[in-house]
Amino acid sequence: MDFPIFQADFFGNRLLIALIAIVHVIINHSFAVGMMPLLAFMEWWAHRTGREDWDRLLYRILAVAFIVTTSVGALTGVGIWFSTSVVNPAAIGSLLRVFYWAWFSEWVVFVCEVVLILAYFLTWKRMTGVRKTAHIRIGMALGLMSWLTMAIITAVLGFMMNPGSWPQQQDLLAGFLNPAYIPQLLFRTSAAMMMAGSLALALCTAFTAKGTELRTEAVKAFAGWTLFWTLPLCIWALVYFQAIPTEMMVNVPVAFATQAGIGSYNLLLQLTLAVGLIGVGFSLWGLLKPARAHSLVWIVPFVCVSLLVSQFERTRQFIRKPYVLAYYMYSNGVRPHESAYLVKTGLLANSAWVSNRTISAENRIQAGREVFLLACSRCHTLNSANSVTANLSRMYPHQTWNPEAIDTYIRNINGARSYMPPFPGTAAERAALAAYLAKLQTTSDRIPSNASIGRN
Amino acid sequence: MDEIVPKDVLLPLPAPFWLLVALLLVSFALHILFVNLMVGSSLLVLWTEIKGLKKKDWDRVSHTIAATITVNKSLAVVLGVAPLLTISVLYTAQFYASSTLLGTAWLLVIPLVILAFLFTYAHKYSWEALHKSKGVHLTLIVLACALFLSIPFIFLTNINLMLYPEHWRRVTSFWDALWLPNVLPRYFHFVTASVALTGLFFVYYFRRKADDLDIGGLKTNEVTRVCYGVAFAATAAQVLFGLLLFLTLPAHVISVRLIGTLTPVLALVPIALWLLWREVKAEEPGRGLRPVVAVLIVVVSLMVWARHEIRETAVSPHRALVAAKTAQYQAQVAAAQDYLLMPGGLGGVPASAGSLIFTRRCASCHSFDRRLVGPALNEALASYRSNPQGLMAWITKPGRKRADYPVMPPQEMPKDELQQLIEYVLKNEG
Repeated sequence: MDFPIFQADFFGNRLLIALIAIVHVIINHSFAVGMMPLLAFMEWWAHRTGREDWDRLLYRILAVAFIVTTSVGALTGVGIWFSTSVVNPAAIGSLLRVFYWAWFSEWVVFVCEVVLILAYFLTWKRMTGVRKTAHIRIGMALGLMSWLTMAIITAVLGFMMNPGSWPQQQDLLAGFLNPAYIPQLLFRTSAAMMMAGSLALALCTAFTAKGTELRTEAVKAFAGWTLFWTLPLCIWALVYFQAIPTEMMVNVPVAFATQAGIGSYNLLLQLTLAVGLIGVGFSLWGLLKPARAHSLVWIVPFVCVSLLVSQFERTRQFIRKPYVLAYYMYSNGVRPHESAYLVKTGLLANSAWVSNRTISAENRIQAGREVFLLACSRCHTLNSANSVTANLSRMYPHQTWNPEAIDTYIRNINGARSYMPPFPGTAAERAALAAYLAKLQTTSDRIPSNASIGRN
Repeated sequence: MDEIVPKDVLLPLPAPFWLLVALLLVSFALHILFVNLMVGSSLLVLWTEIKGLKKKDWDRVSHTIAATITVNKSLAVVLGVAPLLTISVLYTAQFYASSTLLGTAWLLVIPLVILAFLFTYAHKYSWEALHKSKGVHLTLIVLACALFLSIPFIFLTNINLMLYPEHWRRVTSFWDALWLPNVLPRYFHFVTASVALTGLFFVYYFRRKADDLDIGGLKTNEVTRVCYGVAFAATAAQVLFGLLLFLTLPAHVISVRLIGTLTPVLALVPIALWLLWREVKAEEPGRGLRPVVAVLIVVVSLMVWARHEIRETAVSPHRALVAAKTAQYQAQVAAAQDYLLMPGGLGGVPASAGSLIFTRRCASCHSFDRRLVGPALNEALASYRSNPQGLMAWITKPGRKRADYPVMPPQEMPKDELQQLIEYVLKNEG
């Protein structure tokens, strides 16, 4: 209502954010949060046992982690802010005001983390001999800082799903210590450790020759580390699952399988389980028979766990619907608190960036299009990802789309599909939206990325 | 032309205004310092590496400079997080409006910076491997420099556009916003500042590390003199771009206070230039670095403050309008709470519990007498007239009966509600 509309009409706004966020999570968990403690621990072990070949291997793995985290990792983190602020400024703007000090503290920790990773990587070859112990300590401090940044961000993520008593108290601590916080944090910690193990397993093949003793040892060690964290991961996943509010649990099937694939929900669950078992199976192979296998074999666990984490993040993002900030703001940026007022006075009348404020017979379709932009376009595209036209075709197969039927559907949309927010406008706006949607069956429309520019 | 007045985010600021401003200015100064070093060093690396094609020792100097970019660019990014966070909170209505208007261009910052960093890494770590194919090696840093010189256009366009709500209506693309007055002078002011700062940084760096660095036959004095020369030329160019920047400012942001802040700058810059020139000509350049840095710290602080004054003068009328509109809206929303949002918009018609449930849960897709998403109930319920248990089973776990209809999603509700619903639909069908 209060910001210009940006629309990724091919990709879908949700996919845009999801892709950036998922790349960031995979890099953050596997290259940083889990990797740094793993490397520091192994460095300590190699130092104690005098294994210089291991020391060189660890340095090379760190080099990859360093380059990836300080480029793609750091920038996709900032990218989440860029993309969310362009897609849903009202939501991220609210979240920043609630969590300003959490994010500010995270920034301080983040600066320490970057300084430490620079120190850890750039002094690896210089801090040797008596200074090695100090170097290992840098690695441990780095591991702690990486974990702390995640610990702070996880509070924000948990809040978006279950704000605890924040809606009543509106203070930071109440939001921070939301019910899903501890389980999610422990779940993510285990996941990060496991991901780092599988990543180190994949990377060590690039820096060791097949058949060498070092390769065998490395495969065995990293596969063992990966397996070690599987059990805590499963336990905390279950505890976390219990902490999801019951009314969001009904969204799990759609979140998991998408609405189009809902019929294959069980198949997808089995597939997910299979991916997990393949990952565990290949890790077991590494632990028990580390010597005989093609290098590509050791990449499998990392691929599996990355797939699982991506699917987890997708699902987590979806189940909080119809909210973007649980119980505080719907996905379209409207707050439940405002709904009554908007139903009475209208979405268009209360929006800054529209050209049609009242609806007449002449501007009906144009006004309907603007209602679509305001109320629907944060999640739906016209013709591509999660498109309204595909949904309408599925709902009204082999028939003419009837504006009145669509209108009736939208009037109760939250009852019919609990993950959809209620329509936040007047009856006339709803009718205009229905007319616009029905017209899409015969007339194709396109929404430019700068959707509200020049038309206000 | 009337400007667009949105409402603010409906939550209070997380800290007093002055504290947020202080955090913004300090963290931004730190951020831009390292951004300057990152951009300036990349340009200096390119220049000295080209110089090194003829005189081998300059290649070593170039390599030395390149080694520092890794640190500077990582700090540049991480230090940018706090000012981004703070400006988003302090200037939500303006900053998010301009960010969203730029949309794709603003998002492009992310992949472009990633690419620039990867080129920088590739260049740094392939120095030995590519020492025989200098063309390829130079291409890497040329690409990095091209990106580092392009990305600031996006940032400057955004933070310039946010200041002028009166332009929002007619900005239809990034290019429109780029050509608004003031963006280009700000850009060149930024680039020359980067070069000047980098020159000074390497005067310090080469003197400090003189014993550790391998720059072949070159003398430290020679290198620091060149760095000083670069800093002097860039500072002189900044005077020009600074004046241009000032002259292209919209009249309404120029205040007496702003002129008060900038007057000492006018007095200090010639002093800085004179000190720099003395150093370029000195027998052992670098000894007089401290006074130069001291004067420039004062100048930069004044500029940071001037920048803030411009922003405040530009934004505060709009902010007041936004605040008034937000307050009015909140009052109206509070007053409207008595108008309950009835699911299904029943409009006050008295209704039974069963009909309420029907309206909320079923009416989107089902009508009694015609097809909506699902079939007309008069027809569909025919087989359930004497089988309420079967209907109950179907509602909680529907299957597929009709090929040309979508599958009905399972409906979960308390048992007594389900009972009331079934009573209602079986009574009313027919």
